[in-house]
Amino acid sequence: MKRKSLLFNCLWGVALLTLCAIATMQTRSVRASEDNLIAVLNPAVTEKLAERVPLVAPRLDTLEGKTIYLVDMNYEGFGPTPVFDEMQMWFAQNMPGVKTIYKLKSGNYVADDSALWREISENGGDGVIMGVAG
Amino acid sequence: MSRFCGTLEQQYGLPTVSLANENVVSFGINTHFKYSTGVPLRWVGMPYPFTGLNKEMLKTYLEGKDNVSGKPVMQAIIEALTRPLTAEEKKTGTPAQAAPEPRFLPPDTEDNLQRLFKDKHWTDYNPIILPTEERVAAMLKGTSHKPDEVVKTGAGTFGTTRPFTVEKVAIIAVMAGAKPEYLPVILALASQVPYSDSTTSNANMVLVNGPIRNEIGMNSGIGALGPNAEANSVIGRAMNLIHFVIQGYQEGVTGYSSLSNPLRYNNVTIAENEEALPEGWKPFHVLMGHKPEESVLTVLMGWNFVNCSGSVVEHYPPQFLMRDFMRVLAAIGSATIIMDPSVAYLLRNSQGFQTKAALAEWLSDNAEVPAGTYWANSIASGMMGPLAKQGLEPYASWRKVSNDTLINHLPNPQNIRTIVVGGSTASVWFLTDFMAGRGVSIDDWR
Repeated sequence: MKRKSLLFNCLWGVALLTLCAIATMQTRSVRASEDNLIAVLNPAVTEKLAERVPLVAPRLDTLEGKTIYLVDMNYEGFGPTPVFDEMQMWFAQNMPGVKTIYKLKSGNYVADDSALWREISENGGDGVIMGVAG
Repeated sequence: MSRFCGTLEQQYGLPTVSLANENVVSFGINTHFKYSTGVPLRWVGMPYPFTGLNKEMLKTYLEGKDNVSGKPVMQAIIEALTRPLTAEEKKTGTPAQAAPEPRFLPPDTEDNLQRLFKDKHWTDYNPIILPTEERVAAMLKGTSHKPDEVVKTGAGTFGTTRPFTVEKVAIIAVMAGAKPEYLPVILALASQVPYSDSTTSNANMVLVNGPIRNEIGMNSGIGALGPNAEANSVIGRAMNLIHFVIQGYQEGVTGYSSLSNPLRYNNVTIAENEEALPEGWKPFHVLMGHKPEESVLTVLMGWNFVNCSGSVVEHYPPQFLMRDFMRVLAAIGSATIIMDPSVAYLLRNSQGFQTKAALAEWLSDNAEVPAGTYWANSIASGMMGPLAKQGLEPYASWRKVSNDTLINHLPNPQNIRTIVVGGSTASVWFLTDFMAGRGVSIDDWR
């Protein structure tokens, strides 16, 4: 009986030691994994969103009977850009009730042309198709 | 175009529609609207190119689909002018801003962090040095400036608001593999954002002058333009990382350089070989108004980079070949010649050019290009063509002559510059059209 109890205790002891060893190994493994994690500084920069500027110009109910300016921003410097010829022809064929006026913006494609904007407004322009960039 | 349409909409109450190619539209409705103008313009997108097409092709464009709405182009244009404004388009005020970036990234393994930096487009796709707190602290010892000092606010493309600090630059410097002593140069370089970008494959050049060249071991001798020196390599790399991370440049999102340019791999990062300048030839930064003892960084930009293809020959002086090669320059009225000290020596002592300015004047007087070739360059026609139309000389006269008439297309000798660099093992040179920005003090960032 005593021998059996001793054997039982020994087996328990071995099992306990094995469990402890496994637990220790697991702990070490977790620690090793944590040790491999690297903390680094963040290089990213936050970009600020621009203040919203609403569109306020009312849209047209129809283009029929309206004057639409085709403004060539002179991207290549020697304007006119031929796509506007085609566009004028398209309007003439498909929407003859729309009056189109072609204007070549002065200066290069980044130069403002306040005189033209004024002219469009004062001469009864109803809308503007501006291009072509790229 | 955004600016003009914005003016017509806001000041004159006119409905507008902006017509552009796909990449301009994408930039216009995303990045430019969100971070720059705040105006929700209406765009219609067509394919590229617009020029050089016959009528049939142009008709096809108009009958094709708008890249934004997917509707036929003409229908999209009409709708842009007639569709009532939406609540979104009428919004005012400041949008909810993104949360500030945390100072640290979540801890992770080396491999995962390397992958994260690539996925975020924070690298040049070579491995980076991970910017640990210790490494960044060590890097910051390279400057007296405080880590939280703001270097610049308008750092984004078109100057959008992307404030960044000295610490951010130190992080980039670590990532690029820099030594702390490089940091003042990299800070000066960072202060120059946004860098020049174009769909037309331009490139930048970084030039360092003054004592710091030798202090940090920049190579201005043998192999100076190649990948042969740590400081040159790392500073050139840092420029790309600044471009991507701080400026936020990303092809297809904030930039659309169709071919880009291989010079961008290292941004031609060089130091002038000031010690090898012939007598009377002053360093680049001195000619730009700085003192010889100042350390100065200059960012240049341009398109052309032409190798002289062999060394100087006995029967044709180098300035003649430089003049001949100048025909190919992109016609923005500038040239920068990068020449070996042996070429400078020959030009000074055999050809009589006592100064860099004397060479520039000769080249300005003698370089010619057929007018047709000059105007065939879209940068020349786009920028100078309207000036010709307005009667501004010399462009007006150049516009009037026949295509094969030769014109002196580099009329201002002050825009023809020389950089002497190299190891005097071959009398070689590169001709570029690079133009110089304002040189900035590196010493201010020590």
